[in-house]
Amino acid sequence: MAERSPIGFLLRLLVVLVLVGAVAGCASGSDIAEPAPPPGTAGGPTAVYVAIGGLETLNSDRDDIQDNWPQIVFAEALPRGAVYVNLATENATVRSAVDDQLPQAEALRPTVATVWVEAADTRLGTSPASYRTELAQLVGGMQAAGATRVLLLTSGSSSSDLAGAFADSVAHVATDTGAVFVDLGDTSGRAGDPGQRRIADAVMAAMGPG
Amino acid sequence: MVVVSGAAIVVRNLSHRFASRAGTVDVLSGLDLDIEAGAYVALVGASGAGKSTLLSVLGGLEPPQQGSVTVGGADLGTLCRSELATFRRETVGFVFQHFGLLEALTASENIELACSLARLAPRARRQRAADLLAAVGLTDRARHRPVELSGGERQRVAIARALANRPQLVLADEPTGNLDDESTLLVVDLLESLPGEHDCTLVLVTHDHALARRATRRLRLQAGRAVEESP
Amino acid sequence: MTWRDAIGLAVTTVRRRPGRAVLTVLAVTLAAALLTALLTISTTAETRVLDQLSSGGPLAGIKVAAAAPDPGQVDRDNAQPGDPRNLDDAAIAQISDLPDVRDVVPIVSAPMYVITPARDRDNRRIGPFREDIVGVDLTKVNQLPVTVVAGRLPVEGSTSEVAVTQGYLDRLGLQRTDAPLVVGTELQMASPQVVRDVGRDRVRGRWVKVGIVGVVAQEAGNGQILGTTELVNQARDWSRAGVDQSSALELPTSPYTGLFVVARGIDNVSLVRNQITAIGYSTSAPENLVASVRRYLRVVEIVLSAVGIIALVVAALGITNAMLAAVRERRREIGVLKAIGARDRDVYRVFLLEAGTLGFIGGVLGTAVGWAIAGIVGRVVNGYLAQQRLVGVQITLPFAVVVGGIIGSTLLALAAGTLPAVRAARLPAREAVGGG
Repeated sequence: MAERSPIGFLLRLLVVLVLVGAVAGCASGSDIAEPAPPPGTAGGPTAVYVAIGGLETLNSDRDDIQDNWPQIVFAEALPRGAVYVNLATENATVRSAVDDQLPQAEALRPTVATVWVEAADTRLGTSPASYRTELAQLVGGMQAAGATRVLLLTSGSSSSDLAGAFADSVAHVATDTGAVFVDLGDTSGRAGDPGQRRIADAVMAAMGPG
Repeated sequence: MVVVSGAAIVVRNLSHRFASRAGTVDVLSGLDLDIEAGAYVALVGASGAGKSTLLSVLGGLEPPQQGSVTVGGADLGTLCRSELATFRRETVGFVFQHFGLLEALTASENIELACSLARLAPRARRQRAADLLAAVGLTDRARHRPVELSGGERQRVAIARALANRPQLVLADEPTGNLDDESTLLVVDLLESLPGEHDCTLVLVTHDHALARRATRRLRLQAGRAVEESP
Repeated sequence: MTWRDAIGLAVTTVRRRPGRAVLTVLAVTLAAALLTALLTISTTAETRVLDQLSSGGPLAGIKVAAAAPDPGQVDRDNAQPGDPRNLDDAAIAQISDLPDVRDVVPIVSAPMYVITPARDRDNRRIGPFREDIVGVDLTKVNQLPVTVVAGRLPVEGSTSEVAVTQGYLDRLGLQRTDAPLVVGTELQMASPQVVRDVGRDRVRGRWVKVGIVGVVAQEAGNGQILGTTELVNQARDWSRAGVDQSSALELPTSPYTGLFVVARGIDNVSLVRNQITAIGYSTSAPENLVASVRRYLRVVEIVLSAVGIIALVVAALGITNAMLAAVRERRREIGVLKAIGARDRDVYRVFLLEAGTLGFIGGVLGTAVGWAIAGIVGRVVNGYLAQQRLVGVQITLPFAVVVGGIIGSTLLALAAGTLPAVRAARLPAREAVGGG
């Protein structure tokens, strides 16, 4: 019969037309999500920030929590995946911080910490010497728990009274322990006012990059 | 299976009629006929004398209505439709005035079609078709379809097809009716060579007296009977 | 003549004399295209509708609550749970052991306080808000009613990635089509813990900063935030470590907030629900709704199929008519075939297969054209859905429709060609001879 097989013709026709249909089908409607970017990685926290202190760290007005300086530091200076816990209590002294807050901090295994506990000790008239000793104990405990950066905050450096003496103690402890000394001067304020922003900026500046 | 021994034709008392709206027409009436194997016979007669009808019956295109027709020893009146088809395939080759080629097939394919009916294998068919086209001088036209061939070429292909299954009887109905003079000569020469070169009996229907005179026998159909004309 | 030779002659005749066949093939093509397009669209619509019903999860999914069943609600799709009841590992094991349960996916949740840097449409800061985070095993998300709208899901085990829902978008005054805008932004989330300070209790948070990696539609649990079980369990552990286990926060006591149970098949859902109820937990599943919708969709499919089949039958009648005309026109050709030795059944085969060839070609063409039509319809529909801020559809051509369309067209054409083939076979061989 024919030199080219008619059955072969039918098969070729079938293949060609199915391909045509496939191309046509590829032009059909589509929806849905765009291709996913490469997935992220699972794992533990990228950083753990613990805030130790008293009322000046706590600022426990919940409505203004976003404006609380430790919250600002957490939001702006720490990477995605970081954990932050504010262990500060209202009337904390450096002694009570060592007794109560340090064990909780150790359980959290901090990588970075801020310590600002002055107001109650100033009010109670704690001796600068014992303040210094206990502050050093607090810092040492944090470092032993894993904190590679401990920032010691003070706002009383410009004062010539007991607050100023505490500020000096903070400076000495920072020098002795390798912690970062952050002199806030007169930038302290309540949550919600510009002072919190300036505190946060000062802390983040002292933290440095990374 | 139909057993054919030779292609001698014996017709006795053959009658054939057609029914039409105007009534029945007796085309053949008690026709007797003897054609020896290997003969070259021309059938002549006026239009409507029954030439094509006789050819149809001799070729098994339709069974005889009355009388007996024996071709190569086979009584055609006793064959069923399927047996008649086998008879046509194995014993007879037809050449028609209208050529009778399938327009969709090439020259080679038309010949191969006849071979396929005889269940020849594809390779053997192609070879047979090539051989026959060479015999009729149309090797270079093997892949041409009928519409690309002249009338003479088409008729030569038809003759090649008629020979595809080595028939013992070739029936040609006005084979040159649609041809010019030059093609007529070619076709006639080809047909006349068949009894000698292909061992078959040739019965040819024609209006052409000159063509009829070339046959070894001439039979005239009139009044439903066949009358021998002197050569 | 063998069947192979008959097919060859039939195909050759159709191929080399296309003028005769083009209208017939066109009719079959249009009919097959109609049938293909209708079935494709109906299948896609069915998939989409059922997907919507199951919120992207398996149709055989059952939500189990950490609550006892309410006897009056047992057979309802959205059964309200009864009294709280702890859902623990023992309960999970008991449910997993049920013979018709294929999978059990635990769900945990925890309350969180959330801070977002985003602002609402009036550019006001969105204050801290309380919201639940839902934690699931993301390796089994395909078993859950969770659909990604934008972005992606959090990585399994991640404690720094979450996905949010439409509810979160609503807080920001965003539409669903704005979902990509929140992908890549961050949240600060705190799990609460009750602590005692200067003789009174207050709440302290463990804050975690997470990135929003995707926006989802989810029915796994009540909460606008979806995260990993690790993230949620860390939050729960923190909360439980408070004074009196933070009982003042009224935290759920059940180890698991709920389960998503997948039955072996949609027909097993009712049985599995009853079994879980017998174990003592409240369940909900859209089984009645799904069953009703499936019935209606089946009716639609039947109607559409009937329309397509009617079109094919009309095309088949066209084949019959065209083939009968061809037999009349080709009387002499048929006579010649018989004259050269074709039997009645040989002629029958050739004409039958010519019809079949027309049906096959029309079926193949029609399937391709039908698919293209379905694709065009899909584009139009997606354009409309986008205007309505709805998720579009994905047109899929079922393999069964392709095979069925081609085979069906061929078989129908063979049936249509039977009468003409019989007529051709019965023609007398004498037709080869003209005049007499």
